[in-house]
Amino acid sequence: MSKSAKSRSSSTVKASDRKPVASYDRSKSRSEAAAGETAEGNPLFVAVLTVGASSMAAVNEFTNAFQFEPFWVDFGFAAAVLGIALYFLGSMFAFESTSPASRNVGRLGFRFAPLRFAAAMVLILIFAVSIGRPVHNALAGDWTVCGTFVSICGKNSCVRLWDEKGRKTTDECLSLDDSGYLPPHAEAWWRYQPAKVSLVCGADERQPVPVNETMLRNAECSGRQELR
Amino acid sequence: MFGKTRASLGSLLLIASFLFFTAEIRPSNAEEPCVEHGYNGKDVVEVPVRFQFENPPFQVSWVYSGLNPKLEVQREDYESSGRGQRIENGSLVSFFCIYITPGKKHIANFKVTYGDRDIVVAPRVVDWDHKQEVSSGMEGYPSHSLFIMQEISLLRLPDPNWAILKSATLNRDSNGVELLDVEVYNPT
Repeated sequence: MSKSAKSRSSSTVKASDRKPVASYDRSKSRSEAAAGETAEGNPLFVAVLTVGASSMAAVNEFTNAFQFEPFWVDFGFAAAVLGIALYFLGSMFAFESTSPASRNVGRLGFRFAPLRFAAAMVLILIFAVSIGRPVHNALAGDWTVCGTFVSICGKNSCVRLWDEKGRKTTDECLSLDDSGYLPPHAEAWWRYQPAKVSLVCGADERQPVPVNETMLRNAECSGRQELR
Repeated sequence: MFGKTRASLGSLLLIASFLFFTAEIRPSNAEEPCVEHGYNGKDVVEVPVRFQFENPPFQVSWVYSGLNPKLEVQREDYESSGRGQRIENGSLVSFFCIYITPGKKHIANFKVTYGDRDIVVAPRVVDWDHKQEVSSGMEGYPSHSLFIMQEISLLRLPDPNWAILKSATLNRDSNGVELLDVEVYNPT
């Protein structure tokens, strides 16, 4: 190789070395801006909170519009809350390059931002509360409802089942026979066990009332509940 | 509301005899199995049915006596028969036997009739794993399996809308003429 060629090669290497250095500086300044002491007043923080809240509202509307099961609505909500909480926690960590030669060599830096940390903790608390019901329902497994609903309705009556938040746990109105008996009706673990029941008597639907424990998971279907 | 009708012997005696026969409340024993003959090797499912009017004035024996409960199974391969009844806490508890082909563990909806009222009910849970071997009590008839269905509750039922025979007494006057005193209650 000639001397001039060596010289050209050397200058090329130097030029390429400069680019990562400039890139490192820019990323470092972004990281500082994001995780700096002024995080509380940072528009990015407000934007993330807004986007997070509107995303949760959108998920809620979406699941309602497409009639997702309440179980999956709650589960999706909890997952979204957890995701935002993790984002806040993650944003306090930043990769800091320690090698001017390569941006891939460095260490994980941490800068504590009180407001982000507090927001993350609140969101984790909301997550813990909201994931409780789906997990509890899933652990309880499949369930059945059956028994006699005593009313003066007589023929052509049915019952609707509702969860604690007043959402239908089953789409259909479960038909009762002439004596008010509901034959065993099984549902999967991902449908909420009903907390309330309402009687539909012809075109008249009564107010939901708490469902008796004896009507649930009773293999003999010997439960009996008065419905006014 | 209560009306007393006095009628001469003739045809009313026949009617009254029939009503008394059907109105009999036979003592019942829930432990007693369905051992009627003629089960033809079929298994038996005992069906207890509790019937109660909502209004207490109708929760009395002379009202329940005239109901003559029946159970009608809508499938041809079943038979049913009434077995007995008793009055318990203001309700009438009747027992029926449904005869089914051995091994068949499904009973379709059936109809029970009380007085003038038909009520279609779904079968209740039968514990098919818990069967009792019951001797027929008759020579030449093999024992059969007895299963018990969960009690069917027919509660808070509207008042009867048919005439009810409250009492009937056969009297003889001084001339030796027989007179039948019939007390009929018309709830409508």
